[in-house]
Parts: sequence; structure tokens; C-alpha cells
Amino acid sequence: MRKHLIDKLLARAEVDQKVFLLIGDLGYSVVEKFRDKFPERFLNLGVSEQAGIGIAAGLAATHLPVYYSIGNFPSFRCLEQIRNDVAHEQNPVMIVSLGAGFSYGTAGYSHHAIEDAGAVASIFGMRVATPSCIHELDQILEGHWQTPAPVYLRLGSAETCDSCLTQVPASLGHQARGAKSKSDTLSDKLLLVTHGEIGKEARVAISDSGANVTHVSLSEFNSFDTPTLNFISSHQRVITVEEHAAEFGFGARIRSRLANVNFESFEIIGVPMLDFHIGGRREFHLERSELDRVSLSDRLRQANARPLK
Amino acid sequence: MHSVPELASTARRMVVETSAKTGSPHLSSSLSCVDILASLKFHGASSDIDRREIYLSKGHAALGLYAVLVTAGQIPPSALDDYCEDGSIYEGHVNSKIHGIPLSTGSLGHALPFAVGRAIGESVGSLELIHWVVLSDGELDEGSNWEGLLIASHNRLSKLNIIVDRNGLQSLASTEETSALEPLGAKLEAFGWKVIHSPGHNHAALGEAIASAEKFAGPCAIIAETTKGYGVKDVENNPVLFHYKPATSQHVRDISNSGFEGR
Repeated sequence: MRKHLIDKLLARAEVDQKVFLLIGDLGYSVVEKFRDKFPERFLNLGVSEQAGIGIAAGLAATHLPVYYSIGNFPSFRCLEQIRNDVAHEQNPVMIVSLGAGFSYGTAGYSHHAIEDAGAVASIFGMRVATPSCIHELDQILEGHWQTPAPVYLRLGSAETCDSCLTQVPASLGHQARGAKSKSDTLSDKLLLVTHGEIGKEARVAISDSGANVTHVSLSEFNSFDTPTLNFISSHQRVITVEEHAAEFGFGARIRSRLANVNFESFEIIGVPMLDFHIGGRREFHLERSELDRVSLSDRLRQANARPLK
Repeated sequence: MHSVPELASTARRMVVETSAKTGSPHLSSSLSCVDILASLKFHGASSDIDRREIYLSKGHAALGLYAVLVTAGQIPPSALDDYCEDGSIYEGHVNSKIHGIPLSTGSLGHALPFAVGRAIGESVGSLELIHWVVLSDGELDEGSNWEGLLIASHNRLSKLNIIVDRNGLQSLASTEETSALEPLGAKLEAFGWKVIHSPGHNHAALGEAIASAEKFAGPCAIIAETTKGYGVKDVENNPVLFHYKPATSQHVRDISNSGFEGR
């Protein structure tokens, strides 16, 4: 998704002199074309995330800064700068972290971005988003250019939209992208809400399980519009899936927002606390966390098989 | 027209009176930097002063800044009546909601990188602001400051300068006992900054240093040798105590009886 991001930044920078790309000594092979095209609006700040976020916040007085890094570096390392200098002052900085979830699986725990969204979203005034595909990314970028505000953007590795859900139910908020599955009518019984690129696994799981389920992809982590919440509330059973710590993640936030809704069931599927000294590819970690397509398929099958009250 | 020492003395008196009235801490830290802030606000032609964007990185010395801003007419005298009061914007640490304050501070090590960003943004535009960051010496323990120092010199930011309030003390002991900073000037020079040493309560010297820094084509650091609690003997003798304790009525009497230069 990083190539798509840089292409979009390049296109925007052509028409908007304010776009300014800052990097934390990362982005090899993708940021160079921005650097070469707009050298006066590009800076590699080196390995200095704390100063980097502070600088981005200051730069926001005159520009639209995008701070690009990976994994946990632009979140945990500089959380207070995000809180005090970006969010509290509402400086419209876009912080980009490539490698959402287990994208850098083999790199080890330091690179597992599985708690970052919850940490950043705990800050008042910070919007967090994880697009599942390039179309969701486009939607976020367009919104940001129109109404710049502090945002923490988590990117996976997809450079296409093969997981894109294009059939948006009329009742769904503009934030979410949804699709029906199996039946011709949207299921009002079982709703699957996914966050980020895990939606791709979920789509396969739906197909494998044969479950009658409505699937919605929601890129917002902590900022939900009313139509989206109403849409979720209109279902009896809800399952949320995310490649992030379940305990303080996306699903828990939705459940909290809908605490007064009497769902028949509300399942939150995400990353559990495990011993992450054990390494492996993304697929390995998904399986270990029971977020792989087989595990998800089983969960859907079980949910679909339970008789409704 | 009042002189810079007169204005600084007025601000210093406000600090002591307000601290005594409100029971607010960080008295000695505020008194340490009043002369620095007053020099930035009052030294030079008005066209030079108007170009200065001042960041108080040591946000716990907010009372010192507010007193100088009141003296400068930038905020109303009632600000000090509201200091630390319920519903007031004049909080115990610097608040950007106050006119002319570009960044809220209180957690140390934030203002310099922020000002670096401002200076970078304006370096490609037509704005002529000069960004002045006032740091405590103790907060140079923060790595973010050294990141900012590196990046500023690497980018040859000529509209960015710092003043280190070098009173030599942290909250429990001296800087050298806590995490030694010396040789501070050599360290800053090694990071690519021009360094000017100045007495920190001599307005003529401070003014000269500020003017010199503003003419220099690169980032400049003034190390201002200050006394924590300057102007009130009892506080000067117990600067660590009055890092946390407010001024007393005796301190108000002492400061009222002192001359324009304190001592």
C-alpha cells in the first residue's frame, strides 16, 4: 500500500504546495520519487521519531505534513509528542505507519504493530484508521485533504483492491464498505465487521464456511459515524475481526459505543496475548492468533449454526 | 519608556506576588528565566521584537512568562489574578490558548523540535519570524532535544535559536550531580551550533547575544548563566526547595524593597 500512498501524495503535491513528506529514515525504494520531484518539500529526519513528530507538528503551521515510518516507531516511541504536540494542539499531521499487524512477521516482536492503534487511539483528538485496500486508503486521503486533522494511518501490504468490498448497503455510513454474502438479501442476523487487510482472510472464510453473513469493512478504528453504528446495531449477532490486540482494539471500541444495544451475541476476534518471542511469517502469526481463514471460517460456521433466539 | 531592567524587575515582582497569592510552585524556575524572557520581549527595535516567536520549553516556569507578557501588554494584568484558577487558561504550565504562545508545554523536550518544524516550514516561504526556544539546562537530559539540535544544524536553520537557562540545578540536585552536562558549550558546538555564553541576568549582555544570534546564518545557542530564584535572597539560597514551594509574604516584601536590578 506504500507505493499507492506515495503515488497519491505525489499527485496531491502537484496541486497543493502544502503537502510535505517527512520520513524517519525509512521508505527505501518508494519515497525517492517524491524526494526527486519535490526536494523542497521532502526531508529525511533520520532515526528520530520523537523530534520527527514534534517537527511535523510545527511544520503544520505552514504545510500539510505527512510523517512516514513503519511498525511501532511512529507511535510508541513518540506517543507523548503525538498526544501533546499533534492531538492536543490539533495540528493536522498525518502519521503513516507501514506494517499494520503482522505485516513484518519475520522481523520479530519489535515490528509487530498489534497494539499501536489502541495506544494512539487512546489519545483524545487522534483519529486512527487502517484501510483494507487502496480504495479505502483513497477515501481516507481525500477526506484528509478536504478537512485536515490529526490522523494515524496504518498500512498493510496490499497494492491492489482484491479485498475491496464494493457493494455498499444504502443504510451504511460513508465510512464503511460492505457486501452481502451467499444470499441475495443482506443478512440482518449475522454481521461480520473487519478492520484492515484481515478483511481479505475474512472474505475467504465466509466463502469456505458457507455462512449467511453480511460483511462490512470499516477502516476507522475509533471514529464511527452514526449510520455505521446504526447499521451494526440493526443486526442480532456481530463478529468483529482485527489484526490487533483484541482487548483494547477496534471491536472493543465498537462494543463500547454500542453498550446499550442488546445484541444476541457480540464476538471480538483479534490478537490474544501470546509469547511473541516465537517468530514466523504473517500467516504463521495469524494462525497462532486464530485469525487465519480456517479459524475464522470455523467461527463463522459456529455462529451461523446457532439457532436464533 | 521603561528600560529592560525596569521591565524585568516589574515582571519579577509579579512572579513573587502571584506565587505567594496563589501558593503555586516553580517559583525559583520562573525567577531564573525572567531576565531571559524580558530580554527577548523588550530588547531591540520593535520590528526585531515583533519577529520573535518565543517558546518556553521549560513550561513549568509559566508564571515567569505570563508576568513578562503582562509587562509587555500582550496579555491583561488580570491574567495573573486568574493564574491557576478554575476555568482559567493561565494554567500552571504554558498554554497555547494564550495570545502569542505558539505551543503548550509542560512535558520537557517538546518545544525545540516543534520550533524546528516551524522554521523548516517558513524557510521555503516569505515569513520572517525568528524562533527562540528557552530551555532549562535540566531538560537537556531529554533525547528529543538532541535530536532537534542535530536536525536544526543539519538543515542550517538560520531563523532558529535557543537560550539555555543555565542555572545548574535540577529538581533534586545540580545538573552535574544528576547527569553531567559539561562541557555543554563544546557539546552544542559539536552538534553544529554556534554558541554564545552570556551572563543570564545582565540585560545588556543578553541583548547583545540575542542580536548577534539573529544576525548569524545558522542556529545559535546562547548559554545564559543564571541563578535559580534570582532576585529573592532566601529563594536563591534554597532554590531546590522553591522549585516546589511558593513564595511567602516575606519574599513579597523582599522583592518590593529591591532595586530594578534585583540586587
